[in-house]
Amino acid sequence: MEPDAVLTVSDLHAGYGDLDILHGIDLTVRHGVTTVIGPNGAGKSTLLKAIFGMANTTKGTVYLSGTDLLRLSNRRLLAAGVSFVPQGRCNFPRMSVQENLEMGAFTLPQRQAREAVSSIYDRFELLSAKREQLAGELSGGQQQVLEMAMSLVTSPRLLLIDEPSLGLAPMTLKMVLDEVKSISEQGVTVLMVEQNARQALERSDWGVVLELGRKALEGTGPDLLNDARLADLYLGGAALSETAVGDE
Amino acid sequence: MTERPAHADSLPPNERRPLAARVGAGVWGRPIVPVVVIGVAVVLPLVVKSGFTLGIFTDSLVYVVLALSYDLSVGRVGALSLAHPAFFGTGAYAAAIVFERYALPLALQVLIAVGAAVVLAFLIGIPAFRLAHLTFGMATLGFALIAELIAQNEIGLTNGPLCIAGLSSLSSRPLGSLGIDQNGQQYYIFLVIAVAVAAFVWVLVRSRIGRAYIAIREDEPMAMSVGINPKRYRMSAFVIGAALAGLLGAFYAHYLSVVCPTNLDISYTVNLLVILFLGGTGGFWGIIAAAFVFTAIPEELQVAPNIRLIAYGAALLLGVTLLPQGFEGAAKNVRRRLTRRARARRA
Repeated sequence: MEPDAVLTVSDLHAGYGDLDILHGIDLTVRHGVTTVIGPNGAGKSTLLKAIFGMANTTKGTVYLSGTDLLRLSNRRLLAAGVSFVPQGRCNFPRMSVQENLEMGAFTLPQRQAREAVSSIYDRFELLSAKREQLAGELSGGQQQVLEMAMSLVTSPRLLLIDEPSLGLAPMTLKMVLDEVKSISEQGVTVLMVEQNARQALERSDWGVVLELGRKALEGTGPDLLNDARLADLYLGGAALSETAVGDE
Repeated sequence: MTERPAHADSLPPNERRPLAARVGAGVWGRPIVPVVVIGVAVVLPLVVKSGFTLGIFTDSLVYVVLALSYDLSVGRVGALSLAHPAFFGTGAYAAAIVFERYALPLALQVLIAVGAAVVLAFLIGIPAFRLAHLTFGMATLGFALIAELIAQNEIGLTNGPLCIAGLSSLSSRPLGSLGIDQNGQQYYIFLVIAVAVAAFVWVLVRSRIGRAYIAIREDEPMAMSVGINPKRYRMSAFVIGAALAGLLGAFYAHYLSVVCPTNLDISYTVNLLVILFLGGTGGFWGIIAAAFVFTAIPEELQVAPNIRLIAYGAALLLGVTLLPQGFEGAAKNVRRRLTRRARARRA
C-alpha cells in the first residue's frame, strides 16, 4: 500500500447478479478530491456501489487504512468512516431537513446524533434556515447540499459521491462542486463520479478515467484536463481544458 | 436546464408537511382524541344493550388489532405479506392445543401463542424476504395456504375440520363482580388489547425504529446508505406484526371457545386489505375507523358471505380510485380545504 493512500482498490471485479461490470480495477485514492469520469456504461457508479457494498463483488479487495471494506455491512462501513451519496435524489422528500439529517445520523447514539446535526447547522446556514421545510420542496441545489450534509453527519473519512450534477443547472453545479472541494479541504477524502468532466477535474486533485469496466487513465486533475488521450477517449480531438466535454 | 424543486409537485397535498408534523401533531395527534375515543368505547356497553350489537363491536376491536399489526408490514415497510391470518390462526391453535392437552393458564397460553407466531414468521420471512416485492407476496400466500392445509389435515394435532372445541370461555371475574355480563366482559378484554396494541404501534412508529421503517418504504437504497439494514427492519416489522396477531389469536380462541381451520382462512386477508387500503396504509386513525366500518356494517346488515366479498371488492375498487390515500388522507384533505376557506374568508 502506498504511504499516502487513504483507499486502496485492488483487482476489483463487481457487477449485478452474474454480470460483472468492473473487470479488475486497481485504484489508489489519496487525500483530496478524486474524480472518476468515463463514458456511460464504463462502471463509474458500480465502482462506488462496490466500495459501499451495494454491488455484487466477485473478486478483489478494497482497503480503507488497513480495514477491508468488502467484509463490512453498511452500518459498519459508516462506523469505519465511509459515507455514500447515491446518484439522483438521495434524501427523503417527505421528511423535513431536520428529519433527513437525523436519518443521516441514524447509526450514531442519540446524544451524539443531536450534537452532529447541530454542528451541521453551524456549517450549512442554508439548511439551518430551512430545517422545518420538506426536503422535497427544496431546490435541486439545496437538496444536493442537504444530501452532502446528511453524509457528513457521521464525520466520515471517505465520502463517495455519485454524480452530484445530475439534474442541476450549471450555476448550481458550480456551487455544489465548490462545496465538495471545501469538504475535502476540511479533511474528508472525496471519491466522486461525475459526468461534467471539465468542471469536476478543475476542482479535483486527482482524476481517473474508466472505460468498459477498466481503468483507462489516471493522473492529477490538471494533467488529465490537458491529456490528449482523454480527449481522444471522448471526442477524438482537443484537450478537455479547451472543450466543454460532458458539460451540459 | 432550469432548476426546480425536484419532488415538490410529486408529493400528495396531505404529505407536504414534515413527517413529525404529520404523525405527531394536528388535532389527531393531540391527547384529547384518544381520550375521547377511549371514553366513548368504555361507555359503549352501558348504551348498547343488545348482545348481538356489542358482539359486533367486539369483532371490530379484533379487526382493529389485526389491521394495525398487519399494517406494520404492509403500510410501514411496504412488504405486502398475505400470511397475516396464518399468524392469527397459529396463535389461536397454539393456545387451544396447550389448553386442551396441558390445561395451562391463559397467560402461558398467550406466551406460547406469541412464540409460535414468531417462529412461524421467521420460518416464512427468512426465505420470503429474499424475494422481490411481488414474489414476496406470492410466497407468503403460499405459506398461508400451507398453514391452512396443515390445520385441515393434521388431525392428530388440530382435529382438522372437527375443530378444537370446548375451550374455556373468555371472561373476567373483576368485571363480572361489577355486574357486567359476559358479552360486556369480552368486549372490555378486547378493548384493553386494542388500546394496548394501538398505543404500542403509535409509540413504535414514532421511534427510531419507526423512522427506519419509513425510510425503507420511501427509498430502500437511500435507507441503506444511512446504515439501515432493510432486510432486518422489514423482518422486524413482519415478526412484530405476527407476534401481535398471535397474541390476539390466543384470546380469540377463548372468545369463540373453538378453533377451526377457517381461523387461518385467506378471506381474513381480503378483509384486512380492504381495511388497510380504505383506511390508509401507513396510517392510524383511518385504519381504526375502517376496521369498525368494514366489520360492523356488513355484520349489522347481515350480509351473506358471498355478497360481502363482492361488496368488499367493489368498495376496494372505488376506494383506491376515489380515495387513494384512504379515509385518513381524505379527512386531511377536507380539513385542509376548510382551513384554506376559513383563511380566505378572514382575508
